[in-house]
Amino acid sequence: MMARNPSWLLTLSAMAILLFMNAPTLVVLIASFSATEYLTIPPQGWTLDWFAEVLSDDGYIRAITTSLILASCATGLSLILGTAASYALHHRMVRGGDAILSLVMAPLVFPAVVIGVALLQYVSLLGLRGHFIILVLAHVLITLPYVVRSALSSLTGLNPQVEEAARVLGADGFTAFRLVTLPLLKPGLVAGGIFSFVTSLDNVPVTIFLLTPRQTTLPVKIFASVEHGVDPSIAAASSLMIAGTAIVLILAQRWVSFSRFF
Amino acid sequence: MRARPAGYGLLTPVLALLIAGFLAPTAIMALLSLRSYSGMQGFGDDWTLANYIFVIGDPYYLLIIGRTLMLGLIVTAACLVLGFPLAIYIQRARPAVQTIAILLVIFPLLCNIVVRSFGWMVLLAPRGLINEALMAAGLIATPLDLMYNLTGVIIGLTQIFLPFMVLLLIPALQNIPPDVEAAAYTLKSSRPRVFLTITMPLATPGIITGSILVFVLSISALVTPRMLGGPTYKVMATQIYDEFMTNLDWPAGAALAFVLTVIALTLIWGANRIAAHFTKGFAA
Amino acid sequence: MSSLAIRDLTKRYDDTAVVNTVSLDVAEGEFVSLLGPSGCGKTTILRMIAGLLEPSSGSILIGGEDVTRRPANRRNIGLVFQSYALFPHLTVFENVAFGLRRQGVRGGDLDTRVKEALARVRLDAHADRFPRQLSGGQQQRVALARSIAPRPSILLFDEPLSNLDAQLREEMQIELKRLQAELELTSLFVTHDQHEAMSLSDRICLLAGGDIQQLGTPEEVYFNPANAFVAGFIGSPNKLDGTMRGGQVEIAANVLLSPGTAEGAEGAPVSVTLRQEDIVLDPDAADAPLSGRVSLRIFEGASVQYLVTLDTGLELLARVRSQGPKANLPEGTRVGVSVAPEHVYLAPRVAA
Repeated sequence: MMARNPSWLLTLSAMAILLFMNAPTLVVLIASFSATEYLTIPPQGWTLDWFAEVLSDDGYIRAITTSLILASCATGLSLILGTAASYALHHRMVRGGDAILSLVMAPLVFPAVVIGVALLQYVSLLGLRGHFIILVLAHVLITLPYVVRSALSSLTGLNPQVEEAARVLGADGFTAFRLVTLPLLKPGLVAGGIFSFVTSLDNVPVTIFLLTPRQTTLPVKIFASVEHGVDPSIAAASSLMIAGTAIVLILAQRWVSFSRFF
Repeated sequence: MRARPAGYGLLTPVLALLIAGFLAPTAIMALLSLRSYSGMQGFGDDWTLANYIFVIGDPYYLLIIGRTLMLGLIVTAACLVLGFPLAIYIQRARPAVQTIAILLVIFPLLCNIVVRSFGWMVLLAPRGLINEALMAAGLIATPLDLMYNLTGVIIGLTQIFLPFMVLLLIPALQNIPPDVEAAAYTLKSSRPRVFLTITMPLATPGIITGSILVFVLSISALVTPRMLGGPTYKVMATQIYDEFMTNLDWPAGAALAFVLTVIALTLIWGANRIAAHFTKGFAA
Repeated sequence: MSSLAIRDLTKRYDDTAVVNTVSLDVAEGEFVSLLGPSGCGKTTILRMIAGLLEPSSGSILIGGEDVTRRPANRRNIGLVFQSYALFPHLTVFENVAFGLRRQGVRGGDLDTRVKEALARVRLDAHADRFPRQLSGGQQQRVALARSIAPRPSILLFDEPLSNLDAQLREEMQIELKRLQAELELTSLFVTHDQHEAMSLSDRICLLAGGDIQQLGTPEEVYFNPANAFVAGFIGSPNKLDGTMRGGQVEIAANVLLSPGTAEGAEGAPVSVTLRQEDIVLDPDAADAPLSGRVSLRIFEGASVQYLVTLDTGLELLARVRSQGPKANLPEGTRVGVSVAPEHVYLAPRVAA
């Protein structure tokens, strides 16, 4: 293209749109440090009290712990199952691979709330409601598409002869996979794993149907708290989630470029 | 070609999970949506379309379905109107600016939807930042109703799904051969004319993919409509939530869920067909 | 080092045989090439020997032991890939150590043997590098070191030189040959390049359509091609259409050649293969029954190529040594043309 610099009108619109896109997170961050109950711009003084309140609240601590354990279990399981499945699909080891892949990807196109209520009905009928493992498996279901998509694209970029070389050199199938294929898939799996972790951590529409009154995750707790009105401690809890996302993003960039995410 | 048993061994856990945890629940819900139901006796054992007829025939449900689809259309249009200038800007910006801009698009995408909706509540509430600022400036005397209505939900959903649109439009724009636009300019076409006759048509596959994605995500959204629409301003997803969690009328909820699913899947299927058609057209 | 034998080896895909009952013996320390055009089944045979592909029938013996059903990792074979297939995440040292570690070699012993293998390919100074930091030729040498380090009983090569440029390829050929001779490696070398096969091999196994066309020393294959396919594949010969006439072959109206062996009955259509080197040009016999005019002279360095237009209008390519007596025939020279009967190769042809 002819080197055309964006016009001032375009630049200004772009800035405004970027501001619009980041305004809510920005506001949440400011609100969580603001000394007053109601946020004003500029804030009338700063405080860390809201964070202290959240971190000394058993309910929040439990929700944060549950969220992290859930996301870790779901991501771990998703990575193991998803990598195994991708390997079999990539090597066309079974018939009907395309159909299986569509099935794996289906939870991505199904409205999340529908998956949520279908699972609610199902586990209620089976009498399994409230088991943590059900929550983990439901999260595996919704994170699997990200892991599989990432693993499949990494496998496609792999020279198939490299694994053959390992086998000829005396490595059995599993050793060849462990020592050669897996390390080469690592960047793709890290990307898929990060996306899976964030997806699990964020999920409300499926999670909310599967919790018992005693259980909660951080986003569900924030979601429920809002019913009782806006409160700076909610902002503080939200800020913790934003910080978590930012850390994940920074860590992710050390491993993989952003283009891998999409 | 390797031994088949190994392949099945690798796929069995995933298949078991998908069959037991996805296909079975969906199938059972489909079956239950075809059963009669009363709050007293629970599920009947006859087959009936009553739940669907109820959902499609009831003016209240029809209002909600219509409102949801309209919401989807408005949010999609808003994402296109805001997404296009930003995508074009990012495509033309210097590499350093480009990186920062893309980061600013991706960061909200990765941020929790509950958190972002909460941020909008802080901004849009009757005593929220925007109303306070407008009143302080003397522009309005009483707070505007920015929340617990269509306006709030549109603003929230637009912000939440805009990143998807931008990230799909950028590659669509990059796929346009630069020479084509340059050629149009040398033929003395004006800027708006080039945009309408060259840029837009060539970016069509990206526009279609992005629009369908935003539309489907908008009509399926639960969290944002609930938080910014409040308990009374309902869309399909929040109504389904209430049928299951508050009214405990599961068959009606299931029927509504299937109406939503059919709309979403039909659109995605259609979009894939259209995208395939366009890809063929360009390859030829 | 062990011998290699394959017996009636066959690979079928949906009733199409890609490799058709092929039997071949490679003696200890021998270097045999599988030569043929693409799709002739040579790589399929190699992959079956390596255990990467299961034969439909037939057997594979290494050192007299049947390994047909043994998985690749328990055959103790070295395999050098066309794409090198180095492990990109491991250093040169770890690449070479990979097979040794699988054999349980550890510690100082491992160190010694890796260094030894690297020294053999003159890469001992590059042990700590990663494959991407090396040139194509160096990467190929690492692949070679990696395959010989575990002391395999046989060594297989899958077109290992075809990714290298011409000059490097020649250097690697010499290096390979030297190494093979030093270590007395039993080797099977797959290639589509006849020059590579000629210069490296003790024997050449020429394949086409999944069948062995000829198995013999390079000299045998060159001088005594078993059939017209072999004659046509080796060198870049003239190919003419002819008809059998009284035990001779007529390649143009009243132009007759005496073939080594007759092919078909009187009047049968045949295809005639004449090697460029086998065509004898004689300026002193310009009135011979077969004669023509030099219409182009191309100096090629070691040889000179002539395009000869026969009086009948037929064109033939001939090649002579550039330091021989017939190296300087100017364009336009009238020459007599003859080919010794044993160098006229005939094959049946379906008449057009």
